[in-house]
Amino acid sequence: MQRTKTEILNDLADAVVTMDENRAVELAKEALQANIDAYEAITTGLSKGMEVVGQKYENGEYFIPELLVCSDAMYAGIDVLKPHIKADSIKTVGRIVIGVVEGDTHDIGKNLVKIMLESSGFEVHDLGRDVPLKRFIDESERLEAQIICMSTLMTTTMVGMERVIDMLRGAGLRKRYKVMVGGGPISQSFADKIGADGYALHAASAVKKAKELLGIS
Amino acid sequence: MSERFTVSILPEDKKVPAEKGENLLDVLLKSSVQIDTACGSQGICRKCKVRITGKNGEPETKLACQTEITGDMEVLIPEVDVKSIQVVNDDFLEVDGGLDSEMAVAFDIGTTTLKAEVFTIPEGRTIARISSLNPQRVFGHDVMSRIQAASNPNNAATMTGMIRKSIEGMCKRLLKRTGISYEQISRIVIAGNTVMLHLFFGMDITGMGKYPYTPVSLSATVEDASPFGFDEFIKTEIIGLPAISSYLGGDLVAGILTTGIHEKRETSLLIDIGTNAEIILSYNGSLIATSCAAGPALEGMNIQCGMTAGPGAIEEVEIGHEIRLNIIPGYRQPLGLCGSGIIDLIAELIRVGLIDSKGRMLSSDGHVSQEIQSRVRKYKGTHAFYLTEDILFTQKDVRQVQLAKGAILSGFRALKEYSGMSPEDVRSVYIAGEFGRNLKLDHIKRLGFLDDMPNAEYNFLGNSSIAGAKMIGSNPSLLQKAEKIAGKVAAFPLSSFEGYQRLFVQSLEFPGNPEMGGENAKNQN
Repeated sequence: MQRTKTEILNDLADAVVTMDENRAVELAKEALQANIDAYEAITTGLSKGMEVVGQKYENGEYFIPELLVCSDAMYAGIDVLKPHIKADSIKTVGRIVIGVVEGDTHDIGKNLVKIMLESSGFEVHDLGRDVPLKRFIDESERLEAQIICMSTLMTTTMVGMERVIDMLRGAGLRKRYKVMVGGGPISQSFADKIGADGYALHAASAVKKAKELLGIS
Repeated sequence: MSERFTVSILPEDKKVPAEKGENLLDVLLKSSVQIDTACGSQGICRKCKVRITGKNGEPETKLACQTEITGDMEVLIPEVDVKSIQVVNDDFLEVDGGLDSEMAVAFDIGTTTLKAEVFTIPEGRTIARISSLNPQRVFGHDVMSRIQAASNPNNAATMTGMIRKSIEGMCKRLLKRTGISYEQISRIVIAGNTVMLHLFFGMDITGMGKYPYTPVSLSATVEDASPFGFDEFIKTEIIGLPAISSYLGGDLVAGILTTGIHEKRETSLLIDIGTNAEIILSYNGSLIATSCAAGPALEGMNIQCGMTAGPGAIEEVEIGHEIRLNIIPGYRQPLGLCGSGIIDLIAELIRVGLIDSKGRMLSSDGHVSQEIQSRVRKYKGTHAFYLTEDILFTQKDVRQVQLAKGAILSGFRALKEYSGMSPEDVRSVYIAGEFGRNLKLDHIKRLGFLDDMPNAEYNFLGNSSIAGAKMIGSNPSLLQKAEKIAGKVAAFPLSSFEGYQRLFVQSLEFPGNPEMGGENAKNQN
């Protein structure tokens, strides 16, 4: 008996929340057989699940390993669906350049933010860790990104974030980008002080902040 | 520009400027007032009590850490409590007339705490001990924030002045309490992490703030004490221990010297647990060391009801039909959980099934009485365990401890993969650090701080940094040995280890409860 579209989409979300990679793959195949639009299966199925995971992570119920295993389930589902996405159905929410600033090699936090942003439809270009400050700007220009995300775990490298903002100003590019900062020692007041546009405490709230900055609700 | 006021500090009658809204305790510490605090300005330890007289009023007793500067004020600092000088009574009494021998003082300069012992040489018999908080904490609680503060040369000079003054003050208090004279002190030996050693000797620390973390010097230092502000110590020399790298300091060299793992044939490990946990592996004739960012959770910081070990701290927890707490005496009610209490509580909650191997707090499924079960309550969208009506342990607290233990376990596993050693080969494990003193083997296993090493004998050392400094104080020729050790240790930075994230994430889980069967087997891989 054929199941309804809503049932399949709900199950896709559930497979992500329950960390069931195999089930996510099976459900993705089922969605294709049921002629559900591949892109919709991602955005209203898998990504919805990841959103729930983000909430659970934020309140402490899920932790880093759970978040990563859930994202594995999500990506496994996406791999099945991706080849079937119709080019005209893609609506990228926004393009983001992300990296850990120069002098710091701690990147777990940045990776979590990247996962959450990708799962909510952002196109994320990851520059990695210990990223020379100028590269943030060069890559953003080249890729025509809308948001620059910078992360650091160390108080001593925080100053690099301010430099990037100053460099943007110096080059007359400050208005072209929204700048988001995050990481262990970063706070809202630090973000305000250096003139960043946004700060988020958790990977999950980074998504809300990014959408807010681009005027997407 | 914000309003500025004057704080007059009595009985010294010192006047210092302060800005409106500044925290009074910070102002006092900045001006090098000797004042004790234990709770990290949370207002619970009540050690920073002062008498304040404002513009128009009667003097009031207040906690400095809970007081904002709102105008000019006069602050009377109570006489330093003699009890805060911990005299080792047994040793002190035994000496009986032997107090006129040659002596030395050993220091461990920690980022948070300063510890010292005065002892006879060459026997190394401790006469008295003292500990005090590092006054540099106004510039931040961790090493990184001190480095950041030092980017302003004035701050760097202030921090150097503070630490020298504290160390000199502690020496004087030790002498005053014991009646030992300045002339008897032949040397002061200082162990500490690399940043603290740099600050004491007045070297620039900014290079250690970012990759590739370059120190100014890692060598041992031997100088006359008096130019460092130790005016009365004219016959005393100051010895600073050599360090291994920016992150592996003289405290660790002292620890290696104490355990002798550098001379051992069989595989051995030394683990010094603090805000940074260092692991040194002695394997196949080589020494490899790494430093893991465990964070301050194991010392009771960043924990909702956490505190440093002191009066009123819960240091042991046992869950049976009811809950049994062991509280450090000196306060009429429990104030919070210190590191060992936190570890005990988690170990117990895992044992009774109220925390699962993923670290999730469960409101059902526990193998406990209804009364215990009912202490897990909803709290801010998740759960918390109510130890008393006021002291709770939250889901987020569990996560903080997981991050700490994950950092240590992943450091251990990275060293294991990198060196090719097998846990079966390890014959001795030394656990050092103040926190390690209260750690039990059972905890290490139940929380999974380290992988199982079935053939190892575990030794708990306490402060091995001060023990090593004492060895050198008794026998200065050991300083050469210390330099050799420092030169021999290969520093292995975790951030450069391929696949570290994978190791870290795998290391966050608790090993599961052996009493409950299945869980355990499932998570061993």
